[in-house]
Amino acid sequence: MIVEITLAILVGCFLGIISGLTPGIHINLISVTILAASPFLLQYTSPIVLILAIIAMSITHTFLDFLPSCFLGAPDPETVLTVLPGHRLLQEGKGYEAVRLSTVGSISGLILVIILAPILIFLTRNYYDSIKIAIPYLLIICAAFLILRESNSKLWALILFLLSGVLGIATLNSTVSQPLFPLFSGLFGISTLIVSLKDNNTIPLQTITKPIIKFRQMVKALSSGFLASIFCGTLPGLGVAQASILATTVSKKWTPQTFLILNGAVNTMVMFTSVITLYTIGKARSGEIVIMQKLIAEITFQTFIMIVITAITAGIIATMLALKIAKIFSRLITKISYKKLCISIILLITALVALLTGLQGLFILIVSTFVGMLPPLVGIGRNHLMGSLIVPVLLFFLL
Amino acid sequence: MEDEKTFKIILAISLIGVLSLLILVKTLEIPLTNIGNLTESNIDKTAKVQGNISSITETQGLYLINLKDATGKLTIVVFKNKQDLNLKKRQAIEVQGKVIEYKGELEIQASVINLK
Repeated sequence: MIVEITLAILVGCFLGIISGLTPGIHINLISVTILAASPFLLQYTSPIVLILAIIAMSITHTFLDFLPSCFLGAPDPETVLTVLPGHRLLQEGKGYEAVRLSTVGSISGLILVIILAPILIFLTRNYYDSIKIAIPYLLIICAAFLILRESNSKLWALILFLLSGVLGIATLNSTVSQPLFPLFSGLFGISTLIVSLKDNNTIPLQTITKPIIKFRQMVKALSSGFLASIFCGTLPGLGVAQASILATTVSKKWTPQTFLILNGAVNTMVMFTSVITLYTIGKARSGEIVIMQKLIAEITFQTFIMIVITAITAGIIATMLALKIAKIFSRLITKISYKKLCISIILLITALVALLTGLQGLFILIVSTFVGMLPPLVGIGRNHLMGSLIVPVLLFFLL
Repeated sequence: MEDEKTFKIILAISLIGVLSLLILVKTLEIPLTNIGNLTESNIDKTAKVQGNISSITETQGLYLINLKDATGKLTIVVFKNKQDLNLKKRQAIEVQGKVIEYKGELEIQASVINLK
């Protein structure tokens, strides 16, 4: 069993490298593929081993997904807010420093959320039922707050929130077996790649520098990130981008450096909080957790401990990987044909959507890609496209 | 100018696309089937049935609902944690899910349950 678990962690980390570094490919896609292959895989191993692989992959992904955001300007839904601060540092020749800040945030966030897990478990178990009735109202308040906080056009933020909401309703009511895959691939994956193809940035020579991280920066990022992560990791429909924005309401002054630590921490903390939510109340709050739920009916205490150990191990491995790969990226970034890379990824995702979800899924992908291109065109954040999940969740609770 | 034109085109396509998707989903909606009309040819396909609950049995990991309509009866399997099961005997429900075979009998693994 120890050999199987070790192999699961290593395979999971490897898959996390692929999903984290490849723009447009999300852990949901790989999790869906693992689920599709599970009848074959379960002849040789147990569901727990597959789950530990998904955990290792998810944790590694949260450490590495900042790299394409920073170096290629191609974020996924979790790192969509990091493009500007990351790119700013990249343009100063400090891409490696940006990755280091995000990685420090991720590993610190992981340690913090694991240390505080007993408290989170206690609170969720004892108070979730009390706040369950308030979930739709909390979601409405949160969505309204995020729209009102939009510095550019609040009207367009509302329109796109609602438009993506209608798109989400239509998609989730379709007969496609994995509807979130083409939906998110279009909204956040391919649309981002198409828009970034238009920008012909030249990247300056990168230097390997270590940032000076002040203790106060860490405390600010971790404390506000932790509170926002509990909120967003427990409530349905809310994700990392929303958690990062909520966390920044604590204080007005956020330097690019502190924001990168915050987003790194929140990215990993939201992921682990959703595991705690599954363990305590059996609710899945993200795509990969839904897949885990399909593989195993219940998470026991022993399974949870194994998940914690896996998360810590994967976190340590991912920290080393992120820093090593960032050095390689820094050296290679000026040599990569970004256009060819983007086009290859777009074709790959399209092929996978067609294969796994058929013509209907392909149509969803095309429509969601066009909707996904709208936010940068009107100058607002892509986080409002999470209306595609929030609106259906609201309707589920209210109707 | 160019950007405004691009934006209008993308917005138009988005709106038409979302509307078309809504119409498509409605058109492709799974039709309601009588329980008695389900056969082995439905195995591994999605079906939608409607009926009254005659019994609910809880086991470790799942609920088994005995559903009856005018044409027959069927076992509906609901995995625990998929959704909160707040159903009672004699309640009328609509169930959509994958048709499976278990010990020679047809069952439906529910993905959606709606009250009627």
